[in-house]
Amino acid sequence: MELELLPSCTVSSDELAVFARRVAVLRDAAGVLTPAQMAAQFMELHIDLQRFVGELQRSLVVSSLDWTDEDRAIGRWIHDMHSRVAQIGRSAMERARTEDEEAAFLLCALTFHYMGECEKWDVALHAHHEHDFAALHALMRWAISSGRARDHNPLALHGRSISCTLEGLYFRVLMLARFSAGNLNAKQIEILDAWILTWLPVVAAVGEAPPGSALRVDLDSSAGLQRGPRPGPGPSLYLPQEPIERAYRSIVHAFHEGRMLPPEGLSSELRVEEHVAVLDLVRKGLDESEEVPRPRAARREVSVVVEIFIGIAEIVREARNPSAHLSGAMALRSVKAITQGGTPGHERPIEEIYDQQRRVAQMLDRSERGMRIEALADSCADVAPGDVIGVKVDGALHLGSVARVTPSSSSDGLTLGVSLFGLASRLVRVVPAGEGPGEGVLLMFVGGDDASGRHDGFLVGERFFSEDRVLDVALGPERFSLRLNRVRDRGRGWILAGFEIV
Amino acid sequence: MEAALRSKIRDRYIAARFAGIAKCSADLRNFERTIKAARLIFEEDRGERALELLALAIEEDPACEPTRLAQLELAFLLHDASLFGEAAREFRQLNPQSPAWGEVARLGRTLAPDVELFGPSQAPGAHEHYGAWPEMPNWLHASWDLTPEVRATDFHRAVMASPPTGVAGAGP
Repeated sequence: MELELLPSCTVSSDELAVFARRVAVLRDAAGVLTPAQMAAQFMELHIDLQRFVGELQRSLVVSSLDWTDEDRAIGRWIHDMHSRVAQIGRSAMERARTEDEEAAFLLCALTFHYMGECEKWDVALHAHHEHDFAALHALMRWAISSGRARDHNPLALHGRSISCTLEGLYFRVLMLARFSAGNLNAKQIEILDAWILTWLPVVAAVGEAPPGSALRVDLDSSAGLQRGPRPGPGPSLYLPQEPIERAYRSIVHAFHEGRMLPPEGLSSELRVEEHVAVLDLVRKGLDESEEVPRPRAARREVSVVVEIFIGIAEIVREARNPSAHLSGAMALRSVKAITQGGTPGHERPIEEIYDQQRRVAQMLDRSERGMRIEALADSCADVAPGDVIGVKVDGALHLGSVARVTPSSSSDGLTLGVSLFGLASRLVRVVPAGEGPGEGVLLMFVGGDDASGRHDGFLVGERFFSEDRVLDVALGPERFSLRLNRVRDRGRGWILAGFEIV
Repeated sequence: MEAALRSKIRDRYIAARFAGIAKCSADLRNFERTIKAARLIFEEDRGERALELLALAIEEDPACEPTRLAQLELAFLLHDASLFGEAAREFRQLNPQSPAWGEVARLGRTLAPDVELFGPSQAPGAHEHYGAWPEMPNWLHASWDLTPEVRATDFHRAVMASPPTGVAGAGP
């Protein structure tokens, strides 16, 4: 059988089967081979697998078209292979570490690498799940105790020879897992990974907490990267920010010179706009690391049925002609779900709880600046991080952006993390100057939390923003002319624009 | 070929990084617009991004004195003595006769009193204000006229006073 991949790559199921067989053979041979033989065969498989998967990955990730079912099947196959190879490496390494340190070193490095690959494909396939890093930390503890954690060794990764340390590869897994929690797409995680691989030689953790809220990993836990000093005693590693800050600046500097870093590889084929989005994400992470640790904004659990609207058109339509309140039957189903099953979705089929046409969902908790919402997967299949979203709660429309999308841990639905824009929104009619009396244009005004108006903005499409026109507004007896003049935030097809009164 | 590719990557980077401000490198030659954009970004507590915009503009037109002065004022306001010193050195080299040097040196003595380039140190003054204050050079082109700020407050109040549903504003 031939599977057609985008844009024109094909792969036969026989080829896939050959690799699956090779992986199975290696797994079965683990008990009879010496660690050195195992490491050598593992390396052979690694080189062939990299070459084979590299081509498949390129055709999937570079494509600007949505993936077909076949594409997703290939993605799942790649993820599955990487996962199996990582497991084989981990088992082989367990044996090698008491018998052959050199073989253990190589097996440990490759195991870290494939664990990282699994994290990336989790992003591509939206297969987010709870992580258990205990096994990963156990490997790192061995690396530290053997004194080999910072030994440099060239490894062929993604078509490049990269000087790696076990420490760097270990943190690569953790960083990919942290950044892949629903807020990057397949292209962006590839770019981030290419940068992380470039940073590997400079990654050097410290045992004492640096000032601020540096990323930390507790080696005796099963958790991933966290922020700030460890609250109690125990072995932890901290990532100092300065080397990453320097690496970030070198990427920005390269763009100023019209270069992309790294200059070769899959990431260099991806759009500059994707790189800029990842730069913003890294910058945000670096800024958070410099801040004094502070508790997360208080979240309170709620259990409210809400309606959601995705994209500017849906939001404006709803603001202009608010939809009727949820039907009695729907509300009753929701109430039943809450009273009978605790949190809706936990014990009842999610289809019974949520309405598909109206994107009805369940708000699980909220804080001053965010919400967590659970929705039916079918009604939100098109929702992705970076979308603008309106959430109607008790008749009030709250605007924000989708910060993350993850499968619900308790149902077949999706959990959306929403970052709210401002305190309140209004639909405002504006008339571009020079157009004369008429219908004008309806724009969503987003009020900031400052009465001076300095944090106010308008939610607009990219094209409208680029027209750069003076807009007239009449509010009662008052007349205003304003111009959108800055991008406060942006996402897929929308801009939250600051403005000035002219 | 290589130069054309580099130019294209730089242009696309600028367009993505500074959407709504510039669509390509050449747009940054409009120094008045660029300086204003940098000031607005700075006002939103994104000093690093404002500095990057000015750095790109300087790379595009190294001889543009207003952009360099805006960079100096921003470095001063961000208390970045290292950047201020470096930028001042370059400014002095490129514009040895600039009448603005006296002001640059005055700010430099406040921020980095040990740097010889700025002359003998003096007692620190109250130069912390940003904007159109008499003791600041206002190379960032902050407005002397506060009318737009007052009108922005009026606009906020008027919009927020409208009902939460339906359409506010009837058009002119």
